[in-house]
Amino acid sequence: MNELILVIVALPLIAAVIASLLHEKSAKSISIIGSAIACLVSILGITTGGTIDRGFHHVFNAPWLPKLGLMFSFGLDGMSSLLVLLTTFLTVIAVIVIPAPKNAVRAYYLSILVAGALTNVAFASLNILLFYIAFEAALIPVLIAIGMFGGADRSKAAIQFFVFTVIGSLLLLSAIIGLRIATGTFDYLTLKDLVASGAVDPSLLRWFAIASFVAFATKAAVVPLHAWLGRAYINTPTGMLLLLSGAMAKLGVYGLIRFTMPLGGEFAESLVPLIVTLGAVSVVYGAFVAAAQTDIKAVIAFSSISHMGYIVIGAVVGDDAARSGSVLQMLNHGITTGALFICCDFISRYRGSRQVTALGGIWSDSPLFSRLLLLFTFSSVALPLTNGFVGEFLILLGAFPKFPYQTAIASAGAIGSAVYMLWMIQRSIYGGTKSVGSKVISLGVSERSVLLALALMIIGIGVAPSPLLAIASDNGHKVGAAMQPEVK
Amino acid sequence: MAVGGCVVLLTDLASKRSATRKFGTFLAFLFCIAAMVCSYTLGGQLRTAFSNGIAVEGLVVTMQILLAAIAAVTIVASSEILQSFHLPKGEYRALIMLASAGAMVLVQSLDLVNAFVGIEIMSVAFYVLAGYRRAQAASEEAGAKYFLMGAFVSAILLFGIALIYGSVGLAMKANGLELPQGYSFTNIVTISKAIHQVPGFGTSPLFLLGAVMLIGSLMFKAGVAPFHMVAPDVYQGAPAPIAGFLATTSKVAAFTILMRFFTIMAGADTGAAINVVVIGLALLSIIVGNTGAANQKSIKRLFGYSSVAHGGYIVLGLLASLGAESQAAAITAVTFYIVAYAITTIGSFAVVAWLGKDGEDADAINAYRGLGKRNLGAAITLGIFLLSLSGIPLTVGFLTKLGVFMALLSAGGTWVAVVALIGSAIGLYAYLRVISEMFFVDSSQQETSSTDGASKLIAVSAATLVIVMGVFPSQALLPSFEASVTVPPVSGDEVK
Repeated sequence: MNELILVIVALPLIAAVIASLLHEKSAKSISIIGSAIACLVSILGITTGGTIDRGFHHVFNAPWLPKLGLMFSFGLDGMSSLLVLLTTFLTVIAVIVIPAPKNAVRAYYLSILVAGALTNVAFASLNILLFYIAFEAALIPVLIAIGMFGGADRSKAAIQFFVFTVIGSLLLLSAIIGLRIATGTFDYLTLKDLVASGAVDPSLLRWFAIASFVAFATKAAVVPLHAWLGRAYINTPTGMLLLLSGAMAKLGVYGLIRFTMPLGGEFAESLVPLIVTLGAVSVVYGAFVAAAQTDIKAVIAFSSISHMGYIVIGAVVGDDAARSGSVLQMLNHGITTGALFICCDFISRYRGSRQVTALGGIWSDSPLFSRLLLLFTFSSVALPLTNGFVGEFLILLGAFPKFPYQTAIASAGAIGSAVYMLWMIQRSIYGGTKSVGSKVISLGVSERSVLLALALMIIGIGVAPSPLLAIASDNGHKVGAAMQPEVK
Repeated sequence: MAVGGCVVLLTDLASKRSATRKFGTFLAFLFCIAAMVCSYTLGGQLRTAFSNGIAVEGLVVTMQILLAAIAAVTIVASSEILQSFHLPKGEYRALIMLASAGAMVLVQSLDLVNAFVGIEIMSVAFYVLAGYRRAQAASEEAGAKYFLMGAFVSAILLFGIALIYGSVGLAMKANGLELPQGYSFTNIVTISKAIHQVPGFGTSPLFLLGAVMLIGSLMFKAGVAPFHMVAPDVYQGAPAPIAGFLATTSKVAAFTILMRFFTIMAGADTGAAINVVVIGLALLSIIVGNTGAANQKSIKRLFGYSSVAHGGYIVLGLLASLGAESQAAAITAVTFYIVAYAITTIGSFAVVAWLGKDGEDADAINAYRGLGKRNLGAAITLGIFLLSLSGIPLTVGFLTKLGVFMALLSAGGTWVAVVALIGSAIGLYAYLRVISEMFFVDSSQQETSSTDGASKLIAVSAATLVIVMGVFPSQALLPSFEASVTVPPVSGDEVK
């Protein structure tokens, strides 16, 4: 059963390869089959056990380049199993709901499936070098997708995204190599034990903390390393955007929780106030910029910076409730923002424009679509009874005792999210139809079912989050324990 | 082996009188294969010849096979170009093989004088090759520039060797050390003996001056900054396969002899001078090479600057070989880097030749616009090489950089590594720009079918190797990368 991870990763890849070789018409179905089975298997990853080792289950080891210390080491814990599920789920709905561009169908599905598979490798990896390789390599399909299928500014967006992220990653690489030279291993569990026992030189740990923070903060788009996000998200085709914003941005926060905090030693502890402050700044900054946008895709994109701010705060603050909330919120953000981007894609395709000034009247034309969109908006604003509320509340609750000022600022940012989201919805859905000759949004069966499923999840998690929180926090204890300063 | 090289050449010179082009190419190719087989059968045992003037062992065998392969590939790839430009073919093949023979002599040599001979043979052939396309002004200019700079540098090299000769001799006589039977003063073994057994020799000004001159001139031959000014001009002016040949052969040969030289200096007290010089050269190359590549309009110039940058990374690996603990890792890393770089560069220039129209190389980057739609195979192949040159994981370029950085960091050069990584990120932009032109921008250019099947084959095989070696390097076709530079022990000497 330990080979679960391999199945989850390999299936989309195999499907992608087969789809590329066969005719275009079958590409979509093959991709759906491959990614759907992977999604079901990842549910198994949560419910079954497998080999357990130091807090991880489904532990699997195979050599790749042993002389270099590079192994296929995989393992899941609560947080990573949920994130793997999120990634596979987003891959499935991306393939189902978003139509591929006519001129390069197979390349499109290939890039989405490969990106999802590599992201899963990164989430499940217990070998730091393997994590890095997956982290970097996942950028290639995104680069291709943005560059080939993206919006008007796609060339610049793709290059900017790639170079910005890679600079941070190269710093991370230097820190990883440094750790290996000091300890002789790339194996995560071994490193964690070594660092906790104080066997590693503190200055090296300090460098690791800084370098990894820069790399992961860039990936998660924390202010001030967020500059790539706006242009990149706006120009990414929606299918890839679901993965990019829903799963790959979470890689940044995952890296903070999994690597920076435990392996950064005491220096990482001292970074926490800074990180929390930057998170709070991101919340407010993202809200301000989002409110100023007239392109609905841009509003959602900048709202992403805002939401990631909350997630980052919850991730590092060191409180169990906050961390579970953060993990849950990662799931929520993937679901909610994914749903919003899907709706945005429908609007753009049917109405012909993404500018709020050109939209309106969707409420009367497409009742189901607009009510669902309203629900997604409420979730994004973190209204109680939606999933967004649970996550955000837990994070703020856990962060307040230690960082009252930052928490207060972040809470105020929640008001901002209501402002920009409701404003955007009001201008685009209500009122009379502005653009002449645009089509009425009508949903097909598959599209309707996907959106309804997302809506159900939003309400379901909002009303009964306990099972997911339980899964998320089984990890909370382990990471929390590693984060406590050494009690002498 | 040198004898083998000469025989090859003489026969080849004779064969240039044969009637058909294809026969001559085939013959030359056959001799290259023969050279590879000979090298392989010599195996990894250490053997010396010519009164300890040359030595053949594992590393040398690897490099010779590599050199022969490069020569073979270049000869095959050039047939189209030679035909289109109406250039003489027989001399061309002879020159390629002569250059390779010179490089092989250099790689085998244990004595600095032999090394010089090898370098000169190689360089003179290079000068002619650089300017081979005499009808085109750019090519002539490249050849003339290269010749002038190269001759000047060779003189400095010789002077450096002379200084080393003098200093070694003086030191040994002054300290009563015996010259080992059958060795000369310029033999690497002797130099090593002097460094390790004569106190204060490593820091003596005479030796240091000679060493710096030696290192500097070899670095020029390899195309390292600040002696790199010629490189972009030469690569742009020369036809693509020749540029590829020049770039790779010069690096293979020069860096191998440098590796030998550095290994004997390891662990001895040579003061800070050499370290400073080497670090300076490496970082300068990386920065200059990467920034220079960033705004190029010509892809061959871009590759020229890129080769300067990669020379810098190799030098960083050499730097690591100066430290005793990191030496083994460093030698493996540098060897792997040289091999991988050779494959990538030959492949890249092969793509440029492949896409050439009417005999002109596809040089302007604008010509690559929209290549993803016109010729997906070529675009993917070139894309793989560009990703490898940037060091993205899953290509061999990542593993080579990883190896060098691991060796460098275990030798303790942390800030150097950081600067190098930043340079790497800058270079990334240059490569991405080409990828962007190929895939992300639309163009209305028409696709013309290529007649150059040989270049196509070479490019695609090289690209496949880049990916295969990037994922499973231990299964690679070449002999073991666990290279070590062995030097024959002399009585009382323990040199490795």
